[in-house]
Amino acid sequence: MSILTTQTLSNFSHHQHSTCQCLRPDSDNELRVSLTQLAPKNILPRGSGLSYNDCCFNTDGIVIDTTRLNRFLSFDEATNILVCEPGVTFRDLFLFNPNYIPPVIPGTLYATLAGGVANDVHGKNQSHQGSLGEHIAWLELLIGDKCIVTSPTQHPDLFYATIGGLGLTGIISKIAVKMVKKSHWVCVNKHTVTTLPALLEAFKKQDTDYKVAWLDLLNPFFAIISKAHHVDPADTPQDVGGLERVLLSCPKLPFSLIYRGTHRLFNRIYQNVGAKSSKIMPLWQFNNPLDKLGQWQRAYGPKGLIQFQGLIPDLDAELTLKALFDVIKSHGALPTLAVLKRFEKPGVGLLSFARPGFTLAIDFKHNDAAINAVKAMNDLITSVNGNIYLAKDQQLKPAQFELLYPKHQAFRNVLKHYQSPHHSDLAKRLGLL
Amino acid sequence: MKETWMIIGATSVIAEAFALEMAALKHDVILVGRQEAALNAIASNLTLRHGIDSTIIICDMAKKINPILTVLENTDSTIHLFIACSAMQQNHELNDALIKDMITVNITHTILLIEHYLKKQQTTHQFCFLSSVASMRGRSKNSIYGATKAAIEVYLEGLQHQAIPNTFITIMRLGFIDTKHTFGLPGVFYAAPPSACAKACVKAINKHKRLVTYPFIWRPIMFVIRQLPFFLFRKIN
Repeated sequence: MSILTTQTLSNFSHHQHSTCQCLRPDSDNELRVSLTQLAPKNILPRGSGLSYNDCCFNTDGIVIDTTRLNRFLSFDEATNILVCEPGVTFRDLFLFNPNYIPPVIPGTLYATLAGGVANDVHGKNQSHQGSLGEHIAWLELLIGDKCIVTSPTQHPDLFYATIGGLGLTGIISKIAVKMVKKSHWVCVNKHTVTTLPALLEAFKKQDTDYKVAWLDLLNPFFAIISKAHHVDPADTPQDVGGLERVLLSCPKLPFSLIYRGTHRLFNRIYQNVGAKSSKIMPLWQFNNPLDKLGQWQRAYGPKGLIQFQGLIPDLDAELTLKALFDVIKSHGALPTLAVLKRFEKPGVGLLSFARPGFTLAIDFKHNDAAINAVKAMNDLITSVNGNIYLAKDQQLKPAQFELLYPKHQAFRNVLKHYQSPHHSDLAKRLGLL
Repeated sequence: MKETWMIIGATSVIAEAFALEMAALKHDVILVGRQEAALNAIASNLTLRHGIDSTIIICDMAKKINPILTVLENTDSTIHLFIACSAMQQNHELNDALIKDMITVNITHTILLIEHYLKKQQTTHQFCFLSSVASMRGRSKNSIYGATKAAIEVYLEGLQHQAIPNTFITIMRLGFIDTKHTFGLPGVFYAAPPSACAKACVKAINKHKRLVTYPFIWRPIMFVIRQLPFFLFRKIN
């Protein structure tokens, strides 16, 4: 049996810490034996801990670290279904086979697949492929000492609660994910726009596999739209080397490297440098450029960063976006990285974030101004019937959550029906338990 | 050239990481351990990730080693050994039966296995044994475990002294590695990731190293600890 040890955990944003009893099983059997022997009443599974908020914390409870459960178990070439353990990362899925790619790729490849399911993550291909939950064939869940296989046909209530279920329904012990047979190489084209209507117009056309826009919110409005489509494997090298290497890793710093003046200058330079490259490159390099810089979030210093990610409905999208930018300005927050993507397909989970519309993600240097700005942005998004991403947000209030996630009661009913012993700091904060 | 590595104690995280390294180099592996389900999961993982052949042998080293010897005898191709199996309890956790088991696994069956392996008809013999810095000085907490590792180290030094042609023996003397034995333990100043440890093993094997201390920091630490007069050593917890 694994041993419980007291650990202080953090998350991606590095401005929060939580103390808990932690268990890190090395094998599936060890996990099951530990669950049977401990019979925990207050438990939360955790993958790489790369969420921005408290959804990966269970203060004073038990946290099961699943990072050592990272094995591929079987692959069926007829259905492209790969069965694997929960701690397999998106990076592992890339390394699996040069002819297959993960159906959905989140912002970092170091996130675990079970973490991806628990947050129903999306990628830059959401408008074609939807969110990750659409590509899960079945899940094996451990709830207390019970083991339940769930799929859209077996225990569908539990299946759809687990997709985007924030690890609250049970511990995912096996995942069957439908891989996509495509080359690892994409052809990237970039162009720039200087007005918001032109930016939104560019997203209306579904003319490419991947699309994302980088926004400069510190200078007069400027955006770089990056589009990528897969290229024929015959035209590309088979070796997708480089995925192993991290170019530079940021050490822990006692101060922040992020200041308004220098960042404004950085954005100015990036406007020219970032827009130039149009070429064939590995998909992971296009999708996850920041993974090359290990621990880049440490540049924000000991106070870390906070992120806002909201969904903006199509109706009056331009006005809403302008209002959001005004909120940031009026609060004096420092937006360091802003990214706009397009959603077309609603997520399948009861608490899935994705719905048709635009999604805006903004990193802020963590300070009071940023916290107040995010609160005001949450109010604004709630008033326009948008949505707030639960993997990122730290400021949402229980009443807002219930308005934004209308299936919250169905989710609660599933937790009650299956007597899930799971807790998290986020669940307590939003009154989900 | 394609090789086959037999990994004894394959469900330990270091052994699994080593198997992954060898599989990445396209060598086939034979995984030996007690838990069938865990071995199957590791074998599938190696095959799916690297397209190599991985087979398993279920064997409890505390009881017998015949299943391993049978495979060794009946396999015509060259086999190399990675010996990572060991009982690893602290003195206060042991009773008579567990002490006997520990000596059987860590000494008796390990020596028998190596003796049989060296008699196998093949042109080159190569194996790596995972030892511990605990073998270097007797501490009240884990002296029985340390003694078993020291016994094998002395035995292997004898074999190395014999200088049998085309026989390469590598002893990896390990300090803190990030396993369940060190996870969250107070006083662990640095625990090396198992994957880094496995890479160090591969490097040491390829260079035909006789004895490597890993992580390296343990070499000066143990040098100092070994020089300490007993009255001072006793004061260190």
